[in-house]
Amino acid sequence: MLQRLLEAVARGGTHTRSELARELRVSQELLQEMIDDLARRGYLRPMGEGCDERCAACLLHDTCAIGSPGRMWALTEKGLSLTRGTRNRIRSPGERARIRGERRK
Amino acid sequence: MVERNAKGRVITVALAGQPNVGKSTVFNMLTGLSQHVGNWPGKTIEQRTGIYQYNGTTVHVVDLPGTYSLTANSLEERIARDYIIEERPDVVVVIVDASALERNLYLVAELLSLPIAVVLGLNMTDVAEQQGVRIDPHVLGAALGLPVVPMVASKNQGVRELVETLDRVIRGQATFAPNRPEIRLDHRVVLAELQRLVAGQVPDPYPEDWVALKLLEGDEEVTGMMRERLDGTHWEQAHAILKRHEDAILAVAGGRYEWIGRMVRAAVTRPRAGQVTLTDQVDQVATHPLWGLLLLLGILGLVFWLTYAIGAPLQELLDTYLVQAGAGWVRETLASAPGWLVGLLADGVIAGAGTVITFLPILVIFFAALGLLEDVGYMARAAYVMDRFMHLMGLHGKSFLPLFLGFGCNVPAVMGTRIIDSPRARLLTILVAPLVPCTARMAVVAVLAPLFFGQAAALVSLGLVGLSLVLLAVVGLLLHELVLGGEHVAFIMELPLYHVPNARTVGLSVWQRMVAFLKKAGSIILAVSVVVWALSALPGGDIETSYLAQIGRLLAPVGALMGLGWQMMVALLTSFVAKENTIATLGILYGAGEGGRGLGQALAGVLTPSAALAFLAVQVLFIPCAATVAVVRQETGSWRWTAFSVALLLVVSFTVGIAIYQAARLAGWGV
Ligand SMILES: Nc1nc2c(ncn2[C@@H]2O[C@H](COP(=O)(O)OP(=O)(O)OP(=O)(O)O)[C@@H](O)[C@H]2O)c(=O)[nH]1
Ligand SMILES: [Mg+2]
Repeated sequence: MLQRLLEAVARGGTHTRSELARELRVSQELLQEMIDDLARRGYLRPMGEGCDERCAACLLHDTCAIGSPGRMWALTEKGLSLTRGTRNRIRSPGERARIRGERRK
Repeated sequence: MVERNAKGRVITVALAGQPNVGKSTVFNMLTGLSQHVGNWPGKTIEQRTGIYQYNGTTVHVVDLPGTYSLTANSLEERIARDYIIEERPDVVVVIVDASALERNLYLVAELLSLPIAVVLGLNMTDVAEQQGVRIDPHVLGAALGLPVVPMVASKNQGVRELVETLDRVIRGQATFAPNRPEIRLDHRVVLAELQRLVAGQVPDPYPEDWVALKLLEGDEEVTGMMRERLDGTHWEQAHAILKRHEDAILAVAGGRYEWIGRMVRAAVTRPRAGQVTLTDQVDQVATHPLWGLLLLLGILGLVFWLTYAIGAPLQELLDTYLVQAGAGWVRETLASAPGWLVGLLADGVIAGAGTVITFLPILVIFFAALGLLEDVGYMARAAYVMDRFMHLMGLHGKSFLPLFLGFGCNVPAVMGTRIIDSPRARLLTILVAPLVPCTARMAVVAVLAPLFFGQAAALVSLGLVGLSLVLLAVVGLLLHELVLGGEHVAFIMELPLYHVPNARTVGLSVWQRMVAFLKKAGSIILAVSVVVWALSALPGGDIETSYLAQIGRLLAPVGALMGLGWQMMVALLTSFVAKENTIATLGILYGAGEGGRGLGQALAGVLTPSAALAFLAVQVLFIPCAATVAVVRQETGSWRWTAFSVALLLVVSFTVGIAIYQAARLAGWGV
């Protein structure tokens, strides 16, 4: 289940909790438990509220047009490496070329 | 274990559970005054034991410390698990908080991997009920294969039933056939291998299967213990397996979550409260990859339409009664004053900065609509939908967030690129950031589109936003292919619940933006108006031979390709200082004319629709304002890259403008 969650996230881009909960057929509460668990184990990294922590230094932070999305979590290297190669992750042509190049080396 | 003394049987029951679920409350209800408070051997953590009698049985009750799981993460967890393993109570009553069942069941899942009898005390059912969470204890019991006793311990409800259930369990009259969590198939083989390796080597009270499972989980205490117990070759084999399956914890814990999910699906219904249901339902559409995007476009279109439908007539009124009347009044009253002064006031200040102020109603409505969307909680969805769109285009990742900020203002967008770690990716994001149409540019479009296009203004504005986004996506795609390819970014985002907007919050955001706008109008825009007027009046007083015309004519060859006269090119040029200056400059050049015609009519006289469209497109894509260019310089730390950015945008904007005008001409539209 945790592996499936990581794989769903690792497809890239931004995912919402409700989207992931629907995909894994679990309640949003359980999804949150799993997210917290993965964050504790270092597969996800919690980010500050709204934008990234570094955003807080921005002068225009208060009038930020993005509004206030809730909490965010980013997939960590550790989380990504776990899912790498396990599923056909959507890759861009450039990425695929790069991977081919690496394999050749 | 169950013993008999002279009086009857004596058994031990341990109360386990996560912190703050009501264990001690249950403990107090069960044991009343016959308690003993001490410490756990060698630990500073309080140990409470007590006794009750029921149906000829003496029951020793132990209140275990609150633990989230049975990993040896903390002192409490170690005490609880050592007690259960070493002392082997006859029954473990696990108290769970019914209002947070998902979290609480994790401990139950762990307990079930130990060979002990478990009874589940489903506490805090009052809180769960209050939150609208409905749990069917019978169904839960059947799914778990355990006796389940619903309770409100603080009101002494269910305590008697717990006592009765315990009695039945120790008499072997209750069903105890636990449905245990399983780990994924591939790891089951690994687990079996470990079980084989530790077989016969596990020190006494520890169950072998449990030790193998904890080894797989990477439990430090158990690993340490087995390293000492196993002989060299066995340990090395076990170690090699563990090394290969470092992430097996995910399979083990994942199996538990899977199990929790099954239990919850079987027994829990959450008739969601109105706000949550509404949010879920709206988001089905609002965050859908296709419908969400269409909805976003629809909402934007509606915002423009509203802005124009209400704002444009107000702007005309202000233009007539403020700018035209003001300029006329200045000319009359100052009839005897020197001509240059009249010109400066009437044609420079009033026609320039004054015209900009007539657009206040349009801006108020536009900002109010944006503020409303923000406060309702829609903007986060817009961000999400756009991200999906870009992801489909192959562009995703950290560059998205700063780009999205650009819709407010390009300055924070450029600064926001600081979250991008790779310097090259960051640079390229800085380069494309000005392609995001900021509110100032949108405001200028909001002002000019109805002048040029009347009824079709909302559609045109929407098209311009679409155009910027498509360009952004195209440039972004190139960027991703060329530079960002290796960077993989993925986020989970919690979308806020929709809520009824707060008039104060919306009002405040409109107010802040208005103040910022008026400050600009009173300073930069006023100053530029005066300069533009002066350039238009010098040296001879005739616009056609003025310095301004000379500057404008330098740009005229490019303008000609787009059907734009030198005046329009000058207007574009002044937008570099601040976007709103385009309006001020057009006001000076075309507005407040002697004839007293409004700016709209005057412009309609000099521009064909195709040229007007080209002008708006260039306006949206043109070099960003000076403030943005300044932060581009600051963030790239290089004048060369800053110059490159400016040149890039010049090329992009003029190319698009020329393409639009020429295509329209070829198609025979709006010439
Ligand atoms: N509403 C409600 N409150 C309860 C219920 N049971 C216990 N409480 C309250 O929950 C709080 C915590 O109860 P405790 O019995 O101290 O919980 P605990 O599990 O012993 O907590 P730790 O020892 O810290 O792990 C107290 O304020 C209780 O009054 C219940 O069924 N319903
Ligand atoms: Mg307690």
